[in-house]
Amino acid sequence: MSEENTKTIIETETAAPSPKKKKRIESNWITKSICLIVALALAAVAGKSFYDQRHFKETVVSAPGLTEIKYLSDYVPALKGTYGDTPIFVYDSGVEGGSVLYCGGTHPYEPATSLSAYIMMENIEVTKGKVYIMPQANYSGTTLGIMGNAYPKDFDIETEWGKATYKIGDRTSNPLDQWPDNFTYIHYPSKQSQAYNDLRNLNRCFPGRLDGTFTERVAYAIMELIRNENIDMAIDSHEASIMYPVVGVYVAHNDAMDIAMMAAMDLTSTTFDMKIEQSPGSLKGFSHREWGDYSDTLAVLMETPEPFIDRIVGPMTRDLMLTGQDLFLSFAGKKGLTYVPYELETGWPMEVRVGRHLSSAERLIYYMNMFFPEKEVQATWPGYNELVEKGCGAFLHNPEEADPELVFKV
Amino acid sequence: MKKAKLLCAALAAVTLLTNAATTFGAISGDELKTYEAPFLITNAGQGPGGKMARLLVSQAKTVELDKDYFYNAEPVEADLDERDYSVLVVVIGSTDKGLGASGITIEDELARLEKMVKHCQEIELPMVGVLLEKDKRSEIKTNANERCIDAICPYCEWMIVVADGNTDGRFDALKEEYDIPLTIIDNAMDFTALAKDAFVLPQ
Repeated sequence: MSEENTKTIIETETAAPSPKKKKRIESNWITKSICLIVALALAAVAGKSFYDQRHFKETVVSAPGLTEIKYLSDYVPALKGTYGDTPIFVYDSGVEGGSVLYCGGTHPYEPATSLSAYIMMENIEVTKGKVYIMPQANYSGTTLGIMGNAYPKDFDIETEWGKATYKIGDRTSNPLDQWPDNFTYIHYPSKQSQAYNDLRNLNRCFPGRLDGTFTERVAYAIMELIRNENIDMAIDSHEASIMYPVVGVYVAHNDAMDIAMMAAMDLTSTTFDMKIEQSPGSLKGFSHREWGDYSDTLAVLMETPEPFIDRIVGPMTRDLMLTGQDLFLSFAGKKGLTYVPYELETGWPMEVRVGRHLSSAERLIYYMNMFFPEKEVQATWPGYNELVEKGCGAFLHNPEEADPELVFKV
Repeated sequence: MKKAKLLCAALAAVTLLTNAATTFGAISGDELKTYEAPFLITNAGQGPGGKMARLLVSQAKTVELDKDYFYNAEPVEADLDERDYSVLVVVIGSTDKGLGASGITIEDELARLEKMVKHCQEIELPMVGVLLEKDKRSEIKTNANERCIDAICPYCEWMIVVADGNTDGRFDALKEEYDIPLTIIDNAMDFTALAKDAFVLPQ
């Protein structure tokens, strides 16, 4: 390029913009400003939704037998003031006996688990031993939905006195509480390599550790709860997609296998189909494995069918969460590709799923009492048949009319 | 004549009552067989069925585990020769979790079962095929459960099957083809009542 040409270009570039160009620049600024304002408005709307889910509290009216409220931070003080802290409601009969822990919300996108815990809390009567109920085991996971899955943040249960609202959370802890995700996840202490995103999955982090990640600390606190309170039987409730083989099933630690087998056969012959699997020794991080290995508790995990989380469903709506009815899934059901029966007309409604958990837990305790009379716990709450007949709302009490001392925000 | 009619009616009533358990009760189908202790329980397919049978037999409280009967998840030839077993009770049921956890494929499992069946034939140890879980069935012929049924049942001298596991007549067809008695139980819990009569202490 000649020196003369270079000079011309520099002169052109440093010269004042032409009126036409100046107008275009001004116009661009206006367009950009409008875009920014629209983006900020959208972010504000979305942000409010995120904020609401992060701070929304579910309401529960406890039965009168509540004797104490503990928190995970009682066992691991480092959790105090964090989204890992969560309440454990204790129902102590005052009569010497065994103790049972019922966990909901280990995976907060499986809400029949926490709803079953609330219905248990609202209607429980314990006449022997103690029952510990933790409705939201991974509280952090309740404060966000799965990113990219575009589903509602909550659902309503109709009652005679109005609507009760419950959250649909994430499978894992909220990234606001634990970030970033490593490229690999090596389970502690087995050193087993697992999927990287399971680093925030509470049910891959047991037995946990005090100086580990946020989720590992929560896992460690739950282990400490089980160990310190000498929990005889610990029940971890879950829901599963119906195209996943482990659904409608107990998964039991080897020490609890006889109890879970009897409960499964009993339920199958009298109430509903329930399968049984033994917790594989080689699968690490699960409650059904590590709770039993790292404490003396009898550990059992339970899975109900939740079509909402199946990969092939249509719109993930509140209606789908409550009814479990999906056209696409019915095609899979007709071809025998689901691991529990599936009909579009019946779906898998919330009351059926909650009822299954409540009766499944009751049967486990019944057979624990039979096999280990020294650990006997006597407790009642509504079961499968009542839930199916009356629906979930019939067992939820009006917080406006209840004794304020028994109304809690979780 | 009147006495004869009364006698016939009484005999009919007695016969009816005697057969009630196998005709109208929780146990139906072919007559129960009887085996004296010791006997061995195992499973085909890496499912929990063998453990369920072990537990249900213990509930009968007529025979004692590890004294009168034994459980072995994967018996090899030496295990089958270890005692003078009267029968090998094979409980069929495969699970993805069970196979996955044991780190083997269904092909590995079928090869193991084939060896086990062959050795039973060599030492003339009779086999009883049992299905306790109704979900351990499939309409797909290549399903692991169906392949386990094919690997075990044709070589059995008795089949005990939960009613809901035979709604398609799969075990009726095996009974017909191989001339094997088939007893149906209404549900898995009825295996305890059956075990009381089928597995007994030596006289």
